Amino acid sequence: MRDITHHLRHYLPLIGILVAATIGFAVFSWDRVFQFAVIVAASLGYIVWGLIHHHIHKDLHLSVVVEYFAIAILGIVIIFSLLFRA
Amino acid sequence: MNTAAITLSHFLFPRHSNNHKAKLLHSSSLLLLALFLVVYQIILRALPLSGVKILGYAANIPPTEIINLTNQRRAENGVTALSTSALLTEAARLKGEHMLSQDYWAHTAPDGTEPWKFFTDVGYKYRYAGENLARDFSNPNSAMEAWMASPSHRENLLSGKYKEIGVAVVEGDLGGVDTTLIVSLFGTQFSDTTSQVPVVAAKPQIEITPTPLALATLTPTPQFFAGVITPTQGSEKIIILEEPVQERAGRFQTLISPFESTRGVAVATTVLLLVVLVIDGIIVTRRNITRIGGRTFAHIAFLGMILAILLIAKVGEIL
Repeated sequence: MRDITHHLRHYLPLIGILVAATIGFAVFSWDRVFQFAVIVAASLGYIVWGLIHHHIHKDLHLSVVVEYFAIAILGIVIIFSLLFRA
Repeated sequence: MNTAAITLSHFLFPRHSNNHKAKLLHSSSLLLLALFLVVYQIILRALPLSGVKILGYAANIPPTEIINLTNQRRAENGVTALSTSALLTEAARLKGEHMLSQDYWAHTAPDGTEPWKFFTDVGYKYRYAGENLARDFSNPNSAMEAWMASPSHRENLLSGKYKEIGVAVVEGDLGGVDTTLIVSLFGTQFSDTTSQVPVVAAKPQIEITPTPLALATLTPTPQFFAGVITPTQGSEKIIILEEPVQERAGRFQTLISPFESTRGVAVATTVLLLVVLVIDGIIVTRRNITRIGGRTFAHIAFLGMILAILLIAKVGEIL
């Protein structure tokens, strides 16, 4: 958690991506495909942010990459099941 | 400490047994959670196929309220009010029932039947025609808000070239799920030459510039109920009024919907992960534990976005 204060500059782009995605999802409420595309794009942005961040801090390992992918996949599945539910 | 508490602690808190990271936050657990959500959706889809009827989202939506709200929005935007057409109402009802009987959710049916067929089937010769569809909304206001938020549906609602409207709310089984469909048809009779907009080809959402009138008037829409049109020997048609939708409120009731159950499971999963992540972050920071892994704050931010989206997502769909 202390990383927040130490690396605020690094987190700002991530926050920007996530906030923009949330706003995009709300604004384009009538277009489900576009909404899903927004979430996929935000998830990819989150993964790329993680890769760059850990690469800069020289602690990029396979397990870290898998962790970001796992959380992104979970997020995509959650939103997909909500948008294109049974 | 008993076994249950140890197991729970192993899943929720960082400790020696889970390599100082809550087991729930391990990649394998996260992927298992995703798999669980996929299986849950597969089960929801499979239930109707196996003959088990799952509850859908039925709601009490009076067609007159949709018409009133449409005319309110038109008045607010300086467009003349639409008058209710018995023929369009009947066409809307036929379209809704066609969607249920043919099991589709689209402007054009799988067999190629276009929306305009329902206009001509009831004898409505149109100069202009438009169609807005909505499903699974719990009340008329939320459906209207969704239509107004969509540029193409908004154009249909506010187009000055339409003179009449017909709305039908039909409830039935769509894809094995109890569903409430709202069909809103817009039109101008071919004989009506007062429209100031050039003739354009009809399509479900026609892109035209609304023609605002200088004087906005809101004409109270008379109570109008879904009607059955029975052809007679002559050219005249007899309108037989059906039981008003509002009076059948006993049959319309809010049920548990797949949307709400899906959202419930998704919110519970996301909140659980967020709580475990926060606890994990606090414990790791206090104990000054060094480990290889992703940034806790980044994960919290991402799942926070997912939670926000889950909370703002709306139940209904428009087309």
